[in-house]
Amino acid sequence: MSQEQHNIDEQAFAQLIQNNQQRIWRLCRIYAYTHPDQQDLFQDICFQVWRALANFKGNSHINTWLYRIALNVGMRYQQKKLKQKKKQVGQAEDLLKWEVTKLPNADVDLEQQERKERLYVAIRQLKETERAIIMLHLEELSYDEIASITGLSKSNVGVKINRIKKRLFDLLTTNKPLYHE
Amino acid sequence: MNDKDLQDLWNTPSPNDDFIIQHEKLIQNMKAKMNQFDKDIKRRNLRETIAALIVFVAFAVFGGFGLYDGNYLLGFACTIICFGCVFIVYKFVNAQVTISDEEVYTMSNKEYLSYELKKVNEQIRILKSVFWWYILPIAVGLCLFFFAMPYNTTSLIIHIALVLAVSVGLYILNQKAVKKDLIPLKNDLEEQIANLSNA
Repeated sequence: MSQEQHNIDEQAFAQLIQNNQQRIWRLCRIYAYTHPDQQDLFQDICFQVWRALANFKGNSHINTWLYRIALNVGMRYQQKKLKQKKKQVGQAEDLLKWEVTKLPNADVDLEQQERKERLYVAIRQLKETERAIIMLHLEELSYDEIASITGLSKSNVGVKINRIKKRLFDLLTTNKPLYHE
Repeated sequence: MNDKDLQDLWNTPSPNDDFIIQHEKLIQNMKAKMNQFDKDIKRRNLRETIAALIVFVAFAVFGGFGLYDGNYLLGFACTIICFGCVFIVYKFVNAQVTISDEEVYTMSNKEYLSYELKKVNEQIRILKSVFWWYILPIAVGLCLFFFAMPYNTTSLIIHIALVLAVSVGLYILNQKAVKKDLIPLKNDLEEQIANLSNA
């Protein structure tokens, strides 16, 4: 679809990204491991949302639709990075630097922060599809929504989540040092 | 740690997750990317078409001259190469994805992975059969072309050896790509689909 044909409501796009920026960012932190890669992935997701928004027909909730795009882009990003790593081609581009500005955060519970970082690291140890499922669960989506996003049946979602949570708790409670960014 | 603790931890604000988006710049960037995306596609299609056209026209002219001079072998060789070019373009066009990215990314994860697997399988099929549709017509055409040229035996052997060496090289490179890149990707995608299928 060309730029001329691609008439989207810029304000709606900006609003959608703003409303979901934390969710998208958390997903980026799961599927990309370095800060530049996370920014790169954030931009990729925004771009695909931008491209697809004109075709959004409202058949599903906009957040469910957004998650589908974000997760599919995240999975593809992993494959792309794996391929690049193998071929030793280039570095992650720092394209979004000017868009993401870190804010000073005075009230930070350091212990809680460390636990959260460990959670990110533990989730990254899971299989790609398991990461998607547990992330949607942590974002408090219903089993119906998770089933619709992943393509699993609703009953399968429940079984999967229980298994993944068990594995995640094991990873979080283990004393083994986890991989850090 | 129970389920609620986990969800609370996930939603804990963190300085690493704390950022603002400059929306105007984001939108400008999206527009620029969209323009670049359109340009890249147009440029790629144009480049492929022009390359095929140049080879086609060059050998069509050679073949025409050959036939005019009564060199039917040269005419035949050039016809094979021209048909080879058309066939290669046809294969590339045929192999191109018919579903737009906009549709692909809005599929469920399982549908998306199945679609990616289908694409990878298609690439594997194409690269595995590269000898028949890419290498063979052009190599045979070129060998006949050199036979039809007024070369001495040494020169003819060198030219044909060169064609054969490039053909073998191309074949090996393609099979290597299948083995090193595509088969692991296929296995990975199959594993992910299986993960989304079995409870």
